[in-house]
Amino acid sequence: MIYLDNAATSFPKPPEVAAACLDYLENIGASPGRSGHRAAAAAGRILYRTRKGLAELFNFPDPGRIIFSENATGALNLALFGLLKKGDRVLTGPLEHNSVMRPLRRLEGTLGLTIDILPTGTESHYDLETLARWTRERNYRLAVFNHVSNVTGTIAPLDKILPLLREHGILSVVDGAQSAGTLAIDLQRLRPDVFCFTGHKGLFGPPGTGGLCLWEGIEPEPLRLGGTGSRSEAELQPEFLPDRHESGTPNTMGLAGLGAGVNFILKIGQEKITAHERGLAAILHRGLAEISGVKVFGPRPADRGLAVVSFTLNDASPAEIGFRLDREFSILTRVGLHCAPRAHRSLGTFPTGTVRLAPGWFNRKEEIEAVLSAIERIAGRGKRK
Amino acid sequence: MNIYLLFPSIHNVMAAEDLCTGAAIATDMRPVPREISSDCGMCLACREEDREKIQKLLRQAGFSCPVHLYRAEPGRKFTFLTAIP
Repeated sequence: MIYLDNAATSFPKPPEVAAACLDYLENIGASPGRSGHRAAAAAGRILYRTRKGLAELFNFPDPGRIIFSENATGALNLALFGLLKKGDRVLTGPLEHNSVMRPLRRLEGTLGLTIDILPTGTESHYDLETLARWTRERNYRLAVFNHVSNVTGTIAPLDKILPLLREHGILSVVDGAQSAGTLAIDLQRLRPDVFCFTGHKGLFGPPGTGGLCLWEGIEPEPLRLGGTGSRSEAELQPEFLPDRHESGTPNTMGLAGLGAGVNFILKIGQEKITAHERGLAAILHRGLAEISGVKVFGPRPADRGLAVVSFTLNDASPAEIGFRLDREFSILTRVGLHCAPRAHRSLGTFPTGTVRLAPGWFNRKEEIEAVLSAIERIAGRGKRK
Repeated sequence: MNIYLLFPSIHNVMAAEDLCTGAAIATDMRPVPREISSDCGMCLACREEDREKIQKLLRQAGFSCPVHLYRAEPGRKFTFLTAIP
């Protein structure tokens, strides 16, 4: 089996991830920070070390301002529902996932938000001239952009976008679902107000893990209230972080695995992982460009692209191509709209979508060559252009 | 260990423990004594002679959360010492 669906969930995981999950289940088992016994302390240390590892990986100054959630969707919901207020005007990008668009559309109905979507432009799909004009002329309260597109691998020019937002006092939320663990991230340099991430993709963690990094002074309203193991005498939610947003027994097993995944990246080196994955994507780009009838979407890895490669083949259904790759060649991909209809509208591939190939750290060059051969065979010609 | 350090969040307790371990200062994580608070969380205990060193360490590390220090007296009584920062 060749697994090329790492943009959905990375697989396989480093062996340390399963080992950490199993160690928690077999040897610790308790609720972190509650009860006061040694197992509760050990569970608390798992959460602490995972936060500390993430802070190191993202160069984020305060691990205590990293809030855990169940995935990037949970983190984005907390950021958007927790920060936006009645009548706010919001700016978002042309390649957003439904984890951004659906909360925004809901809040458009309940809070009367005005939502502006930046048109596509030449700078990695971002029209920066329009961005400069709109942020100058319009009164935005918040802007939310994905860091890396889950459809095309396009890296947003955050180094140009975020200073503009800061200059105009606009809150910035970055959807890092695809960038965390796949791209070197320096939050002290980028300075987004909120950076949302998931654990189960580039960070090699188990599903059900993720979170957000809240910059000093950014205080969204909590979405979930309840027990935290702290200030138990009070019926009011604690105001301090991370407890304010982490009510209920956390996913300590998953967070143990996430911590192990983050440590794996720190051990190998983010740059090395990114270079390997981009190298595989470059082979895919080159190979696909030679197959007659194939159209590739998004930038090449050399031009602000990460290891996510979307393509169509003549007028063939992406679902049919994906099915054949699976059944005839044991190659696992993701087809369709990738929960990002907005991005596919921007690319002109709505409503049928694309076939998405997303290699990861554990894929080898020979596997990528085998994938290209399989696509050539499906193209029916057995030969290149 | 008769000095108790109380923090708002278990995260702060872990961070303080980590700092002390790095500085080779012995600490012990314990339940918050009921005589001090009805909180169901945990706190950090240390030796009297390490108290000043720990206070300095926490200040240097930029601990912005309030930390309350107590001394355990005979008969399970606790005397409030100070709050930092």
